[in-house]
Amino acid sequence: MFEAMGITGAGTQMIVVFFLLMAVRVPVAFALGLSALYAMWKIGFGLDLAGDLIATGITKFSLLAIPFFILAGTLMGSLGIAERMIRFFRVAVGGLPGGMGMVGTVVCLFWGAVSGSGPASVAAIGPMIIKGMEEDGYDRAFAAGLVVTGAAFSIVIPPSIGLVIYGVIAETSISRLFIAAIIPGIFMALTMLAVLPFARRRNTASSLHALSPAPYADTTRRDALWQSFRDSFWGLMTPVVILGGIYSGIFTPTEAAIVATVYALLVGAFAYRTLNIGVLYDALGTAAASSAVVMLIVAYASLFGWVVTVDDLVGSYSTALLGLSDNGWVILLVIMVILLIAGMFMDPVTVMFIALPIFLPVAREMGWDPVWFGVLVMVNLAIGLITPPVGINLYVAANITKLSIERVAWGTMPFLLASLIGIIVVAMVPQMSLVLVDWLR
Amino acid sequence: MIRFVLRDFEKIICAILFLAMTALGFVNVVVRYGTNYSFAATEELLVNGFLLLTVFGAAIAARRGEHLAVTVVHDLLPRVFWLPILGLSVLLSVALLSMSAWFSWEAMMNIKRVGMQSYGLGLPAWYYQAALPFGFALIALRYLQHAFEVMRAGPDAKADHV
Repeated sequence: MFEAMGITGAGTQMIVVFFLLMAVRVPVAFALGLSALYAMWKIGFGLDLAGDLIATGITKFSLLAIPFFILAGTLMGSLGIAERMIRFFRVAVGGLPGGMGMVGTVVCLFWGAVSGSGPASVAAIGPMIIKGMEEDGYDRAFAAGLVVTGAAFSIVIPPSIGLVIYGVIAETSISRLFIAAIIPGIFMALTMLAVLPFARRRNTASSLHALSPAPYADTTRRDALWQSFRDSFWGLMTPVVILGGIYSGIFTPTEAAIVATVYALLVGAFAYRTLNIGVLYDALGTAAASSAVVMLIVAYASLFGWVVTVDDLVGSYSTALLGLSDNGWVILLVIMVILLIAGMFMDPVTVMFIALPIFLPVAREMGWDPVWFGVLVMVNLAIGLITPPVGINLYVAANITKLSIERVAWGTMPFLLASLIGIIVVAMVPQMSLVLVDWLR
Repeated sequence: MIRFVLRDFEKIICAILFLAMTALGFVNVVVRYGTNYSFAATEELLVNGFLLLTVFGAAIAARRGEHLAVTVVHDLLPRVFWLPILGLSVLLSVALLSMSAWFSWEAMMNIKRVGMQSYGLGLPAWYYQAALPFGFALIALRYLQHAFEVMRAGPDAKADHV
């Protein structure tokens, strides 16, 4: 069939089969596996390696950071750490212009330093922020838009599951990627603040007092600030534990993830006393499932990657890309547009496994720093989490707000525009990513 | 009790594995930090535990319908195509999972035949892979269970991902 259409290479056929399977609703992980097995059968060898390739695709020590960061994030959410953090920021910055919009942005930023996954962040902090923003006069769809955008950037702000996978594919230091992503991650999250003044808000008696959540309602501002800080102290320390450990060189990212998990368990057990067998059992199950959704894609993508290498798809496509122009900026623009479009339809992990083998040689050829390029890829793919038709964050938000995907997508539009301007700045100013890496070297 | 174990089988396995991995990983960090001594044995156990966690976690996700799929094209099609296309996607997915079970069985038998040993503990390496074929079969089973629920609920029920 493909030969009649002029598509002769097994690798190219594999890519066509992959998209066809996705169109008929085959889950992405399975579509990767099926199309790769098809190509192996077509090439005539490799099928006997499939079992090994699946196993070795997963059994890498650096990838171990993924289940543990997911578990730590899940625990932080279910042990009441997120709730306390939101209460503190409500008191601390709720009185500033933008009110709960400001609180939502800051919480998303902070949560990004705890959680490494976008959709999980929406689920953990979304309901509380959206409710608070509605009480403060914001439209629900707009509030959902803020949360999905802020949560998307938690895959840029370290710890980041996406950067772990980029580090494995690009054979680049994950610690350096984490450090490089800090400033661009914070910058992207702050672009959301530019949208707030344009938001239409119902008139509410939005005084600080009205915004002060229940336990601190009758106290003075100073007392409320101190009490809420004390209550949320252990949660606020999480980024210090995770990032401090990595930056000081004490932990590898995988070890930091394990330590963060134990830290969450200890805080739940001794500081907040919210940990019990039921909560633990559910968190373990949920985290195992979320981690497996990512890792099954990784497993089948390793079959896909094997075909890409054997069939020399990389060579032909990256040469074509390099032939587009002599100007590095033009090539970078093309790469970013491809990533944005791919991100509209696929999750970040899948896009990376398909596109990076082609883009990385191009980046090397152009002399781009792989760490800077990784941060840029991650910002692109974070935006993909909030673009319709397939933005995973939008689905999660639609689910928790009971709004249609379309309404959430409309609410997200202003933030999407701000992010697109933000990503141009991140691309034009590589120092933003590299200054900390150079400084800490 | 038996019903709970049957229904929650993969969740129980994941919970035990995950907790054990956390404990082992943490001990390793403490020992390494305290004594500058790290053992390859824990790395081997962690990484292979991770493999099992992925397969059994994927079964939990399959039962809950969490494996990411693109539904846009499917949603745009006329209603008559809803069931046939869903059926096709389930069939293809189950075929892949069955093949994966078969391939991992072959891989395990191969390792056993050659007598390969693990790098850290020197155990027969096939021990670690023995549960994989079973795990893939379980994902297929859970995926089918979920697919039947979606099909029974019909095209109007809200189901984002199968």
